[in-house]
Amino acid sequence: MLNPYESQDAKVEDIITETSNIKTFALKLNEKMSFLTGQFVELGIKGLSEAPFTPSSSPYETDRMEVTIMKAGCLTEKFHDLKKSSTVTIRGPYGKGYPIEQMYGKEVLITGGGVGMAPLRSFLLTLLEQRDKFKRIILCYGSKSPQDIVYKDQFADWMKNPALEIYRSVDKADSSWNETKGVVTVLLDKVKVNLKNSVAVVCGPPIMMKFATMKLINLGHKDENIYLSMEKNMSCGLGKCGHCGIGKYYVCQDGPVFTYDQIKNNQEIWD
Amino acid sequence: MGQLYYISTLEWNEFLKSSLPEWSLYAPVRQDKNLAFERLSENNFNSVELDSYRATQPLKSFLFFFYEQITNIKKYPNMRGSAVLGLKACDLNSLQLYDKTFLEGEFAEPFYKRRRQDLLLISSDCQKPIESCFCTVLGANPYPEEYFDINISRISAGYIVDINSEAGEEFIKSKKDFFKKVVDRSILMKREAKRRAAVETVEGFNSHFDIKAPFLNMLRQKLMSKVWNEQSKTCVTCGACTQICPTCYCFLIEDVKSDKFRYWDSCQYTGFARVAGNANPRKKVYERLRHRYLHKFDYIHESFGFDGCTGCGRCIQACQGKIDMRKVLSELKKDPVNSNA
Ligand SMILES: Cc1cc2nc3c(=O)[nH]c(=O)nc-3n(C[C@H](O)[C@H](O)[C@H](O)COP(=O)(O)OP(=O)(O)OC[C@H]3O[C@@H](n4cnc5c(N)ncnc54)[C@H](O)[C@@H]3O)c2cc1C
Ligand code: SF4
Ligand code: FES
Repeated sequence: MLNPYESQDAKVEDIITETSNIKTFALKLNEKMSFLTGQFVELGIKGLSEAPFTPSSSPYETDRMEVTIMKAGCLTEKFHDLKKSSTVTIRGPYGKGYPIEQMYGKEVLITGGGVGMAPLRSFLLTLLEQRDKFKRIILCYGSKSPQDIVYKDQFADWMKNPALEIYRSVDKADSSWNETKGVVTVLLDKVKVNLKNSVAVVCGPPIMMKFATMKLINLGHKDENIYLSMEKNMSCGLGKCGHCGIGKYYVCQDGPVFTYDQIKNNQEIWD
Repeated sequence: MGQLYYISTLEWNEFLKSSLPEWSLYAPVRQDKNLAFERLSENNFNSVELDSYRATQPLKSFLFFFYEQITNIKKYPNMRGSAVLGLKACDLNSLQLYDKTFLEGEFAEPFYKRRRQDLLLISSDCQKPIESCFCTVLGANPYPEEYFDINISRISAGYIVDINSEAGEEFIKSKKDFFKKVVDRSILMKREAKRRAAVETVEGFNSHFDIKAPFLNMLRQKLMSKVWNEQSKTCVTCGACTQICPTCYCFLIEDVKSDKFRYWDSCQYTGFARVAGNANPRKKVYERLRHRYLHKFDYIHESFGFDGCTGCGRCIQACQGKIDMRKVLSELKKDPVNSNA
């Protein structure tokens, strides 16, 4: 019988320092793991613990998987201490991933904050693989300061790419910053999308998700067209342990991406 | 209903004793005020009480162990040759939720699955319900109707034995001549009368609460009720209610050296829903109490069409703060607040 609790080893092939508290880890898995963009994995350090993370690389890249991790506590701090060639554990993928096909032919408005850019990078790279299937791709990304921006090199390429519309903001600007200043919601005021034919995809810290969602609704986006990544406590990732509940849903099984319409009646979504 | 037999008490006891060498039998044994499951032997045989009410331990403790290693498993658990006796309707009814959660979906819980296949379930009618019993409030009856391999109903000097599976048939095979096919229907009338009496007893215990499942619509109107806070004031967040609950299944995985262990967790503990940076959607005790009720009577009901509570009343007995689920529900029902946000 298959034991779903069992994970496989993965080797850390490369470590990219994104910001002072965010690093990207390139992993080489013993056995290849294919995933859908938006699905997550349980990544761990043997003898310590595991936690959920969403691959930030494209699912089309099957040789190695990248995971972008912000220092947030016990396990994530240990991850930041890892050296190249260390071994970590991985199991998954879990959850449902983004419903890409439902977005065909539409304008896709992506809103991200901080390390929330991790799943969104994977999502964006997936859209770019099939660029002609989407009417427009717009990315609004907010971070604390110019230094806190992740994927700096890649952003430079994306901003030159005519197939993408990119807007960025920082809460605290310095003299080098010539883009928008302010929280990410001010960017949403700048972009005009066809509300009849668009979807909005949001990922970031809870407070940012809350304000971005409220803003999108004010701008006329429909509840069922707003896709949110929910971060809840997780243990098993298998839809069994009960930790990740939002109302009748388990985030690990029914999410982690939900439409606002699915979860808006729950009193706990933003906490 | 499966095949019905009648067996005298004398022969039943002799049959059980004859099974002892081959089978590991667990049965409720009297321990002061409570009944506790014990491995049956010649020594405790006479203290067994099959027909009163549920034992202290929930059925899940046989199928889903409190603490166990879940990785690097050389040999999966095996419960062939084990049987639990004296299970009650409120034990068996918990399997509806356990089977849904642990056997269905993309992944099956491999340990539960094994034990569930192996373990023989021998239940019996309740003839002495206690004050904390409220199965009838949940729309259930104090006698088993499904999920058993064998059910026994005490009738004067013997039992009506209801065999509900091949495994049950197999179990009685060695002493098949003790079991007489029921031909006289009047004996079934006797069983019916005893069952009615038990229903009335339980209903009597609960008449002053004025509550009846389903509760989901009522609860959705009372999310902001002050009753949550009032009723949770004596909660010391010990988690006894969830540990003793036959339907609570939440667990936590822990790393120990290079192995993983799984143990029962509780949504009543402070850190249960905590996420990175110490954010916690259920910081307050009343929020966690409310979550427990919503999970059982709203979320589970909406997903599966039945409640995540069997009315066994264990949580009422176990609670250090004397929180009574029936009281909480009836206070909520009485509270005039009508809001859902
Ligand atoms: C679906 C999903 C995808 C995620 N993707 C990413 C990502 O790509 N990059 C990233 O940086 N972060 C991501 N996170 C958040 C990440 O899982 C947490 O930052 C991480 O669990 C924190 O662990 P820690 O031990 O360092 O933190 P601590 O706060 O020290 O955690 C200590 C304990 O708190 C509990 N805990 C805290 N947060 C969580 C949690 N989210 N789930 C379970 N238990 C928790 C655990 O019991 C843990 O052992 C994601 C979360 C979810 C739910
Ligand atoms: S709650 Fe009902 S089924 Fe359970 S022990 Fe009491 S009377 Fe029996
Ligand atoms: S993480 Fe265990 S049920 Fe979702």
